[in-house]
Amino acid sequence: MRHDASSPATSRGAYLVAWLLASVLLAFILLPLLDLAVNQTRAGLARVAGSMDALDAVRLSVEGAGLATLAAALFGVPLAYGLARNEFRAKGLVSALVDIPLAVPHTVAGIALLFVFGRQGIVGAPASALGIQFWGTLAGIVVAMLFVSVPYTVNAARIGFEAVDPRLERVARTLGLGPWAVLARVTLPLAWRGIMTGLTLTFARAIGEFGAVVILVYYPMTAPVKIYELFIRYGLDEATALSLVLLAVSLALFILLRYFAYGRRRNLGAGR
Amino acid sequence: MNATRAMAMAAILLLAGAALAPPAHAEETKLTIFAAGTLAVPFRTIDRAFEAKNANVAVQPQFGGSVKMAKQITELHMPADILAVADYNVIPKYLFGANGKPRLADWYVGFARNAITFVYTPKSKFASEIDAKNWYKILARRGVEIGRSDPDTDPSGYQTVQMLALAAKYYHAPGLASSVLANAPLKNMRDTETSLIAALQLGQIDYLAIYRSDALQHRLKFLDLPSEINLSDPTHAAFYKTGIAHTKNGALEGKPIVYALTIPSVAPHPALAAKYIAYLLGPEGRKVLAADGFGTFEPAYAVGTKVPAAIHGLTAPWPSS
Repeated sequence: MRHDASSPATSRGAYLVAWLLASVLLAFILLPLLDLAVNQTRAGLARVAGSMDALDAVRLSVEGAGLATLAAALFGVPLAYGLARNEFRAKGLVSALVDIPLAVPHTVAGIALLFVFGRQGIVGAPASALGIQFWGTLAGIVVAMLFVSVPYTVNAARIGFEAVDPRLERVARTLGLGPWAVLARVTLPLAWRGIMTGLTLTFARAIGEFGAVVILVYYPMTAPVKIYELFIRYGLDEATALSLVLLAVSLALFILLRYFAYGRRRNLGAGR
Repeated sequence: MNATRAMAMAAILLLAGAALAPPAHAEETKLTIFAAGTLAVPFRTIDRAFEAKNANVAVQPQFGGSVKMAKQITELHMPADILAVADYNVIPKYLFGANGKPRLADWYVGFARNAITFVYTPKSKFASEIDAKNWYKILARRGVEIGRSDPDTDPSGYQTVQMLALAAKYYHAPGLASSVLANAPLKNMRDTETSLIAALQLGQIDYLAIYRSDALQHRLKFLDLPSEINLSDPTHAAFYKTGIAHTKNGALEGKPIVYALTIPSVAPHPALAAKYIAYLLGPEGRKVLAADGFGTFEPAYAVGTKVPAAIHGLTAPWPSS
């Protein structure tokens, strides 16, 4: 059943109010960014766009956020499925635990991760015996990014899975599909949008993280760290120039991810 | 829930919120201070004492890297009543109108001294062996991890490099600086040294280049380096000049570590700021600074001709080196 603006069930007034509030929110997001862009000097932008250091920082951020998102998919999606399908006594606690990284101040999160993944940490010490370090490496960047952004994947994927009727899965079993095939051909396609929304949010959150990353990794510099360094060494113009480059790259990637989530799979949605 | 109930609930919540809200401090004047991170501990003590002596004044300090604090005023146009930095050069460099930027201050006063040193914990490698005579040999050993701040952005970063250059001359050990710095690679560097204290305490690094005041405040073991190299004594200023740090901002000559402050022209409450500084430069302020590991000047050293009257009597002209 489709609802459209001319349906008698929706009054014009309520619709206008909704659009007004929505516009306020969009303006709230757009105005600071447009202000940033408008006040940017061409010279500053050219200097930053031509700087290998600055572009390396953006590349490193995208790489780190990409790996963090993959890790979130690998570890977060199964957890989300477990939370969606099972009832168990500690479920409330586990759900709350998943949300905790969102409430932890970023610097504190960084220090807590250093405690575990540092040279003498419970994970860091054995890892360094195997040649893996987290201090000042891409691995450290990924760990910090993952910690602050994984809740988004788990929560959104869980909602995606909850929207899939378990009876559909059971029917597929009766028709002869094994459990993994059911997952691949029934559950995941139906939960796809929720999962992709979660992964997009995770990517977005990861790429912008500063406080937790900078405790573990200052060099090599991710984009937020480089932006801060440019501010200290030069000034606002150079810092905002790199910020705009990062925003442009992020925006392009989000649009790509959204297309990947919604573009191809529209016809597989549950009747929508 | 029907409409009346909802409105009643909203009204109750609003009244509860208003009743529980803290009383409005309509009369209170807020004094905003931007200060170097290493001043956090003494300033908090001094702020409380100043508030106790001055009714209706709320001191609101913010702490961070000296350059960051200066730029918050010059680039972000944040209003501050007082700017206090860990390197007196930061004030003329950023606020005196160089490079066509607006002039936001006319004077500064040097009010505290510090020394560069290395701090460590009992967990640090060779902690039981190291002392003020063999430190440069131990710090150069393989496997020792040393942390320091970025010389391109932070005073203690370039002061560390200058100190090592001076040490090479003082101990007649030409390779000293490079061999110690080899154990302080980029991965052990942070924007400001206080970010690395957690790393030291967690054993990620063994030694951290930082100020003596921080060693005393955080109760960390530290090396008592000779005053000829640790940038603590203005009488050695001529020798300090020979210690050069090559940074992305140019070659910087060593200078004694002197903390300085000023009242920017954009200060909302300049008279109150002058009163605070007078308290800081007076006997009570000096006592707090000394207790927290800083050296003090009596009288403080002033540069510039427009030092406010309330402070002027407590200062003497900066001695020319």
